[in-house]
Amino acid sequence: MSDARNLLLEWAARGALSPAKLEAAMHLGGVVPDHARWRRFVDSLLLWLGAALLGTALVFFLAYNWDAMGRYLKFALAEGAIVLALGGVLWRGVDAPASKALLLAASLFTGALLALVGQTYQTGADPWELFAVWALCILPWTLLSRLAAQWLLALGLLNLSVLLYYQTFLGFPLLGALFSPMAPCWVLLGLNGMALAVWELARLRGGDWLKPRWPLQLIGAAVMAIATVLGLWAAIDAGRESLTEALGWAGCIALVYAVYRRRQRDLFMLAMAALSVVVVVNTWLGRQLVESFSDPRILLVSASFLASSTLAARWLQRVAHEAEP
Amino acid sequence: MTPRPAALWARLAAAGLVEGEQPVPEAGRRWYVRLMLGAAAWLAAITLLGFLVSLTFVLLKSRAGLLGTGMVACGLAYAMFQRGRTSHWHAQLGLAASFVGQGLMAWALFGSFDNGDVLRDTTASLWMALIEALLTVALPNSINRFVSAQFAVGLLALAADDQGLGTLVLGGAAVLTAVLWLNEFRWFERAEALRAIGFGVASSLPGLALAVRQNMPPPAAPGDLGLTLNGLDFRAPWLASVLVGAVLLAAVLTLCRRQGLAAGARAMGLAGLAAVLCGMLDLKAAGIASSLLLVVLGFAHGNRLLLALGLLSLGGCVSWFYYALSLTLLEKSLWLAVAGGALLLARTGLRVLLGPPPPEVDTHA
Repeated sequence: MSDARNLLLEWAARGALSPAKLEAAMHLGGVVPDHARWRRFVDSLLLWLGAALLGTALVFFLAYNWDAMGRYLKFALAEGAIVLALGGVLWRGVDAPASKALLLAASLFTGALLALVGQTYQTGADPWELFAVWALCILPWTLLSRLAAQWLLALGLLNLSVLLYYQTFLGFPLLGALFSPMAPCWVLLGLNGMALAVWELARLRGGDWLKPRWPLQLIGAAVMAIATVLGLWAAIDAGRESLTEALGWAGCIALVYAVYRRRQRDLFMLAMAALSVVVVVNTWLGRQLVESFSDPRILLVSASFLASSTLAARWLQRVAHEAEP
Repeated sequence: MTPRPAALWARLAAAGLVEGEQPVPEAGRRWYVRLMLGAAAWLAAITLLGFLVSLTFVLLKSRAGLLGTGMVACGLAYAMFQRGRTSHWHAQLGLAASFVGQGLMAWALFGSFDNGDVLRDTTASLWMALIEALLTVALPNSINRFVSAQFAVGLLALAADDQGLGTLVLGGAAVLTAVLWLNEFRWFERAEALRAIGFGVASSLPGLALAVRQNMPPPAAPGDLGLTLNGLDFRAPWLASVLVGAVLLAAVLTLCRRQGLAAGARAMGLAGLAAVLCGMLDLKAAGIASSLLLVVLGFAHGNRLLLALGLLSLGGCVSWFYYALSLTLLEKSLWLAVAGGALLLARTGLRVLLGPPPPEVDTHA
């Protein structure tokens, strides 16, 4: 809906569409919802919000420090909720919207169940293991669900697991020596980059649920943010040791350009890559030129920030001018 | 499904709404391009500000000097923005100058000086809020308006909260958000400015709702309505929910009327009831009504960014609720279960009363 809205607003701002006719155009373009779309929206909102609140209620309930409730009752509650949710999926069929909400709820209940196992039996497991096992457990439902939010949940859990893994082991003197300080970034970049590539490929041959670009743009923004951290590390360190990080960052930018400029034009991804280039290149320039804030050459860096972002905006403008595919 | 530009133009032309050639698209109006430009201008402003501060000019050693230099920087920004309506370069220079000016003026008001000249936090916040509000109106640049509107609302809330009036700022921000977004297409002559301000105020709304509630003292006793001998205590927790809930209800009823529903229509009554229920949930989980206001306004105008902001805020408010100290986890769990159950029951009720919603038909092929 948003693309049509932006187009109409742009046409109106440039005088191609009279402001008096804007509201009618918004209705005709399907931007302003009609009765039927309001009904579907309210129906979905009530379903998803209701399921999310019930799922959260169970998590809060189990997190409460119960003295009076035995461990078996707690497990029965968590497992019962999962069984009920899955029963609902079997009853309605996996393609029903309610079933997708139930699968997502079952995934959240699984997290509560795993936390309960850790809390009850003091397994000694690290937090990263909890999130990794959680992601693994919900994998079959994720595959079944054909729902972007469910896939993003699984990917988010894996990201969290990687972060916690390195938080645990980087501090350990022996194992810490095996990892470079940028190791978590490399692993996260690989994980999210692979997710982005697989999603893009699946989108080419997949169903309707894969068509919206927002999940891809969300993962793409995360990939660019991680690549920018690598680039900043190289720009600030600026030694031979950080050559790999510099090459990794440059490779990411080149790949984003090749894919989203040449194959599947996506201005959002290109804007994120442009921002990354502006930040990393100017940080490197500042590192090379400037000793302290009182150094007048900092004015050059400031001007360079402005000039490079202006150039990037002009370039994006040129890309947008090209005919729509 | 979103229609392609050429197909959309053809449909509008067939309906007599446009004529002639379809204009070429312009990238500079997209929010993510603005994000890139804004981030770069912030970084440029930080380096500039660092340089100015490190020089320790005589001008920068007194409040008057800082204020004067800040005003000059904002004046420069105005001149640049006037030239920069069609030039990204001038707009970027103006943005950096404006951020430097705002930074210097904030330093003038919140800083302490060698002669012992220190302003009270409330006074400083109030003055800075006023300056930000003026800059929101006066400086003709969308990114600047978005940032200044956010600061203006936040600083005003900070100043008002010291006097126990933070709730009123929250209510005012909710009214402003609803009015701006409900009239977005009607006030098109100033739409670009109003949209930037609308995003600034809307994005600060859920955070404001949480901050105001965080600073409220807990009720003295269960059922305490916060009524004092002098009248109403504006710190009463229920007041924030009632104010935002009333705005949500008004927005929902306005949208129902726009859909052609009569005042007594069953669907309108149900929609109003749903808004009241959400306001009631906000009594316990602060920020829910503000987030739902953004969700409803976003959907009503096809504004995906506002809708996403509302949905993210909803998640944030539930997370905040986990850490709220006013209730035990058991009480919170019961509240959430009742609310979740009520919403699912409401969905079933709607399906029974009005039938299942009609399936989606792709009309844009």
